[in-house]
Amino acid sequence: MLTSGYRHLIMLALVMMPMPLAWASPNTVVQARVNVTVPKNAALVSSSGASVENAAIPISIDNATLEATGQKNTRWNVTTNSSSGARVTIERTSVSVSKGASDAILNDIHVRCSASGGSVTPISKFSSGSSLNNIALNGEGLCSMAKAGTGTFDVTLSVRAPATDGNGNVNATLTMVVAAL
Amino acid sequence: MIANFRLIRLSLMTALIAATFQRAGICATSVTDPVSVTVPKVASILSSNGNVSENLAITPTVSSSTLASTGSASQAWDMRTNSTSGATVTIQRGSVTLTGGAVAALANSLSVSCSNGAGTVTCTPSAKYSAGASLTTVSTIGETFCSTGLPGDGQFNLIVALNAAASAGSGTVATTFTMIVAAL
Repeated sequence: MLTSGYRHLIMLALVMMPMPLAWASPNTVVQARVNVTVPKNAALVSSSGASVENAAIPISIDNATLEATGQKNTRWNVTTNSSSGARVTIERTSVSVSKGASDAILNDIHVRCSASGGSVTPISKFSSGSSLNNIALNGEGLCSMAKAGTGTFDVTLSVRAPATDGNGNVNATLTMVVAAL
Repeated sequence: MIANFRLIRLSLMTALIAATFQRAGICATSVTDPVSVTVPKVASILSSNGNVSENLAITPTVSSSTLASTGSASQAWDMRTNSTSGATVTIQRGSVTLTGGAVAALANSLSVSCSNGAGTVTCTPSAKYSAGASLTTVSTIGETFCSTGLPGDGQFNLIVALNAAASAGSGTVATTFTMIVAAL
């Protein structure tokens, strides 16, 4: 009989034992999956932080030949987070010529691009300089950057017009667009 | 306390059975039954949503001028232990996958940190994760993430934050953190 009583007690203990174990969940390992996607972007502003700059070219007239010369430089900062870099295009609006200037003066206004910081490389056409008339109305490459980060380039407008070009005003708007590659 | 209560309950039931034997006239007038219950140290961990795995997707905000990318995601985790010394949580990182042009600099721009949550027991982050560690410096074999010093329920937050300059590039970074809790 005593043996039977012990058997009951042992069974009772066995029933009781799992209860403390059940108090805590057996999940001791958890996982957190992390995912982040940064989209490609590119931005372009002038060195003064503006998105529009007026480039009025100051003119000097040679007393002897009456040749008009002058230039205006604007610095632009291009930033991209694309590992492949970015590309800047330039396009021109129609040019207005007034107050007696002849269309010949358009060929004597040049647009040039030069790198001034970062990994910017001008397109060859604008590295050597292009006349205002030759800039595409619907956009063409101006310069590019090969990697992520910030680069700086200068757009230089210059005039060297002989007296035969006449005098007057020439106006146009150049628009530059940057895109991440 | 729960464990102690059950021990008392077990003792009472044992006494009750012994008394019953006496009333039935069993020849043994006195019995002794030493009872011993050992409650093992255990610990558990689940997300605050009750899951064993969670996805932390960071949606970055990109500055229109500097193109710097920022953003963060966090997840609260509930840990529980019956150990009077508390419990410790370790963290280990899986391999990091870079796609869509992402480079190592972008992965380095992700910071992993830990903070105490809303539990009744304080979770103390390790110094490294209190300050925050870049993603690529998280151990792949495991290291201490946080710990408690008492039994009960603690909660901690796993925070992953992005602060990337434009030069860090673009693309997708993905990895998996595995956290293991152990009673102390």
